[in-house]
Amino acid sequence: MLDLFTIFSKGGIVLWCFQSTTQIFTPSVNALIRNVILQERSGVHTFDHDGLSLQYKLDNEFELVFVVAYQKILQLSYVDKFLNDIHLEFRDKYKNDLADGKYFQEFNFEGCFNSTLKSVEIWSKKQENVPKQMKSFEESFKSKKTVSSMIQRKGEEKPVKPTKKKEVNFASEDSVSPPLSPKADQNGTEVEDVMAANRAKFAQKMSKKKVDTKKSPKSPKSPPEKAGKKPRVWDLGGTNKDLETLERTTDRPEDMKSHFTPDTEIVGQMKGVIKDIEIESSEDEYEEDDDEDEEIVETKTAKSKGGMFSILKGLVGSKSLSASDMGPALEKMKELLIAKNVASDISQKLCESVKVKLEGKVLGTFDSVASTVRNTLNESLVQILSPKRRVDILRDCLEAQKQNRPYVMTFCGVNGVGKSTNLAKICFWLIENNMRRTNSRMRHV
Amino acid sequence: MGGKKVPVKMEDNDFTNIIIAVVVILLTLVIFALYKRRKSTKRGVLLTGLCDSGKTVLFSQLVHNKYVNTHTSIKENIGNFIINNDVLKIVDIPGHERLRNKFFENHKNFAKGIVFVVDSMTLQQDIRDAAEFLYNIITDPVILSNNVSLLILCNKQDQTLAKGCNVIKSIFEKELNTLRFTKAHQLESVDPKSKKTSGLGDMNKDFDFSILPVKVEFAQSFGCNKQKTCNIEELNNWLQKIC
Repeated sequence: MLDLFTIFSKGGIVLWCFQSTTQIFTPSVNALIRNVILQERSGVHTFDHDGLSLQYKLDNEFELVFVVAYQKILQLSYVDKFLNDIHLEFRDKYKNDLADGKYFQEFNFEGCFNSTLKSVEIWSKKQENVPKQMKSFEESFKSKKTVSSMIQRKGEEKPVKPTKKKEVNFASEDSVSPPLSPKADQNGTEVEDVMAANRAKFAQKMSKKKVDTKKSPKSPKSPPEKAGKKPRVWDLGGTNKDLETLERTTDRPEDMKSHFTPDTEIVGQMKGVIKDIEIESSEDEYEEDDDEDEEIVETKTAKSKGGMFSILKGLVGSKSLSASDMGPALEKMKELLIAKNVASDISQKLCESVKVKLEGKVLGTFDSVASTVRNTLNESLVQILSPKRRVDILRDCLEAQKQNRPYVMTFCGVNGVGKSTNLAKICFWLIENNMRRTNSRMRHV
Repeated sequence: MGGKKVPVKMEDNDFTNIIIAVVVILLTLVIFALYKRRKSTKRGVLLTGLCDSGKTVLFSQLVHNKYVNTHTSIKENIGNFIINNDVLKIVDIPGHERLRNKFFENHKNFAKGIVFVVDSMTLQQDIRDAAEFLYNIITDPVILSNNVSLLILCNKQDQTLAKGCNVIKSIFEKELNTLRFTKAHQLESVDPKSKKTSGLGDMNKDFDFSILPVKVEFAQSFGCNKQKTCNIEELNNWLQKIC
């Protein structure tokens, strides 16, 4: 069902090509290159030209382009998977040749191509027949709900080790939360309730960042543990019973001990760092649940992985870039662009295009991800801003005069940028060069 | 921790050591610079021209002696061409408007010769673009100072509608005649780096390629045809001449 599948190098040399019809596809492929790849619209997945749909994939490590073309009316669901599979297949087969840049040899890829195509077609047929799968919990809407509600319930039931919660409270508003110390246990259940409410508030604040790290392992466990209704405690409400906790007189014994224990070793040495609130708090959340051992292990490994990665990040040399590596750098670039008055959807598209351009690229030993992303974005911007056609107004005016038609220029821009001023100057320049000014239109946008 | 300061004694010996070290470092730097310069002497031949004029096909014929199907290039192709026991670096520069300047800038410093490939079939329609690109090449200060030789290669001569060498030459001369007038009257660029180039020759006389400081030659070729034959003899001869 595919009309054309072609593999060519970025230099334009066709390595291998499959064609099921005698139609000439070169103009379509060239149009794809000129209109999509060279215009930095690489975020777009399909390109329609002349009744054909074209899809492509870039291999940035070996500088290859894979293009698939099929009739536009066909709805082929397997093209994405096919491109991925055949990309891997081709890479594996000719890794050594491609690394040496040997583009001019015979590539006997027919067998691989046919088998891959067949397997993908079978896969797509199967995919059609399979009844729609039920969503797993992680995919469901419930897992995307705010974490706060779930934590609130859990916090109410479980005894809390207040000692572990130092940092969390340190970060939340001290005025609302009761001062915590080991003695807080004596205050009984009311304290726990207030604490739970505070924790919920704090969690709500942090939830945006933490959602993906903590909700999935935890949430399935909490609903069944629900034992019964507990009275809701409002932040600013309360009865006489709460008086004890709300009392703010300074000579209370708990207050004498601050919940903050300074690290005496580094006092006066002018060093030390502000602790990372996100990781600390999530760790606390887990550690307080003594029975949930597995989760603790999980988070710790996750955490240590993150730490290892950030250390290695600077040292990674011969690793190829993946989309997740570039995520933070691209996000930063996007914000930078938006801060410089670029529309947000355009900067989004630009970043996507840079991502496609860089994915799989092998970094040099001393290149960092951020600088590579920055340079590529820079290059892309220069490429977009360089004119698509030559700008020689006088030459085109001459040509227009010869053909007896007017040469029309449009000045557009927001108010006050100088459209009229420049119009006057350009008219003067044209008259000076013996061009009779025939028509000038101004359009305000 | 209350360590006593040990006075450092400066002896004459120390100075000689330092001087020797500095001299050795300088020597290595000089040798390295010389080596690098020698290595990067101008051995490049740039294949330039508009899109679809057949540069990549010519490149593959020259370097690999093989016909390939091609698409629009996104990147340059670089290959070695051995002639008279000498190696020329052939660089095929993409012809797309947005790319050619970038790659031309990158490679122009190593250029010994430039091949300007012209599609003899469609030249009449693209003459303004082609002439502008050619104008930019022959007025480029780096190209002028390096004494680069230029070959205008009329490609696709196997087609029936293709124009001959002489016709193409006269079309270019006529177009460059107008172009140098319009370029001379152009407004100055805002970019401080770009220098206003002196016009090509005397404005009162008709433009002729012979007045150029750059040596320009014309040749014919075709990269391939239906019988899979090619004719790049004239190009080969020219390459032999310049190397």
